[in-house]
Amino acid sequence: MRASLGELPLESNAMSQSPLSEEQRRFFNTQGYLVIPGALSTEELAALRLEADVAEARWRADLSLPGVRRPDLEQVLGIMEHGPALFDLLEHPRIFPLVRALLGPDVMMLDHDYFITPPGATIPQGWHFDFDLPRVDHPRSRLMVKIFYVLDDIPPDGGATLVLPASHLTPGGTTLPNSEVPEDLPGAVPMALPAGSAYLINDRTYHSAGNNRSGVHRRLLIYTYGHKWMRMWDEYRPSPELAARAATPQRRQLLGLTDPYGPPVAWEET
Amino acid sequence: MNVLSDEQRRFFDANGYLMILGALSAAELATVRTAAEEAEARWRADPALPGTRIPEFEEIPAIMEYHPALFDLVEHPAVFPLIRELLGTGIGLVDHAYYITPPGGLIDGTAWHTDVRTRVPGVHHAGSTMMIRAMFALTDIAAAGGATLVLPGTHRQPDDTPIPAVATPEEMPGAVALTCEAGSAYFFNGNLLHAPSNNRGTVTRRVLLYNYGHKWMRMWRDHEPSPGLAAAARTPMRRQLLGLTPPYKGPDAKLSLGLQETIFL
Repeated sequence: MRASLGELPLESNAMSQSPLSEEQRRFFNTQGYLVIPGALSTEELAALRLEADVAEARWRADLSLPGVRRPDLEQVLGIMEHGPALFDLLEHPRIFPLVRALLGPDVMMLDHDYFITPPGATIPQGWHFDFDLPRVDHPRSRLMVKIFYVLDDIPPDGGATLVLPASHLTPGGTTLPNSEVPEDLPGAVPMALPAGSAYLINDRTYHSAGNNRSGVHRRLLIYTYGHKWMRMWDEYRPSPELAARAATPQRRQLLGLTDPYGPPVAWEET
Repeated sequence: MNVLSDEQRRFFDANGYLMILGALSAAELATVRTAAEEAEARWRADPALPGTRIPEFEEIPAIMEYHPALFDLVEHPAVFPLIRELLGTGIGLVDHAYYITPPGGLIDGTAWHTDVRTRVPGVHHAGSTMMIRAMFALTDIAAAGGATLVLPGTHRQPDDTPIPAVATPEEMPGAVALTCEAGSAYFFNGNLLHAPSNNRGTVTRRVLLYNYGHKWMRMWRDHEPSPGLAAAARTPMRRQLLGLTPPYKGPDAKLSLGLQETIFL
């Protein structure tokens, strides 16, 4: 099945007070994911591709730079450190407001990466929840929203992220079926999308990378948001240089540089 | 093996709090009192040290920074294992302080609150346990002596349940004053409605606060451990409590390895 549910153009919300349409909110609430076709303009996509290419080249040339270097996955860790457009993507004017609407004004960044899945990558039993935290009423809480920005077209056999709709409503501690071939899980929906698309999942959406049987790399920028009272992974704490470039209170909150339990910053209505 | 008795667990689940009478031995209480006195003297002598200095309430935040005995109290064997069982093995510490409430307070009814409802958004608190706050009494606390007030069972109310308006904290219908003798401890779910009461007695109320959460939660503002305190965390549990281990993955520290000092063994 191709990802089609929840594909609602942003323009449909132009007259709405909330950046999310009611339909989008309902879809995310019930299915645990949302697809945004055409999230990035042609110019934005070109600028991000350029910076991502430079980041990748630098990361390949310098093995001391953090990340994952495996045959089935390459991860340039902390991608916002690599360029201004990649930093600004944190607050993309059309997409970030959706995240803020879902998480609330105390939103903060948790991690950010460039994922490259080479042709031939196989992901046996890759299905997982990002969070399964004890003592949290997961089905009725929302701790995290993750955005995936698609930099190159992802064909149906190109390692697309697979999501299991409504799986985010399962209680903590639940074990769901896994499968040796991720695509074989009944009900799985692949995020096989054109470049410039984005899709969102929450912390409890059961998901997996797919096997990349195509001839092209899957290239995704991933920005994960949580609440400012949550700890950021240590390796994503902003460098002094990045922190210095956080010129607004909003950006400072997103980088975890404000009071964790104090009032959140004010955000401009969109 | 469970640390909490069935009765303790039932009581905590239903009411949201638990009293541990005589948590500290006489010797332990003396040790902790001496440490707290030293901390207070240093804090009073240096107004640059952070804290709250108002007539009805004084707070010395980050109290573990002041004395090793106050650091070790974070893992007291009569209290910590119970809280760890309630929060889970991924327990962390959120904040810690020394509260001093002199007689003659002027606290009004708006003091009723939960610790998490507004400060920890995104969580369905009625079904979750995000924080448990432990208080060690260094002085006897009578009902009129500024005892903590709690409203039993409110930790499972829907998050949008309004807080009843009262003129003074003591007027809240159903409120229970957590009175106890020095050396006792009590702890409560961070979502439980609670308030300080007015100290209309003659004795200054003194309690040490240790507020626990999960290791994936950030510490309170200005509670990130100093290099000295971090260096003093010599066990996996102590490092986990101070937020010095990976937040979302990695093994949780074991309870048996937790106690690094000997004063509470």
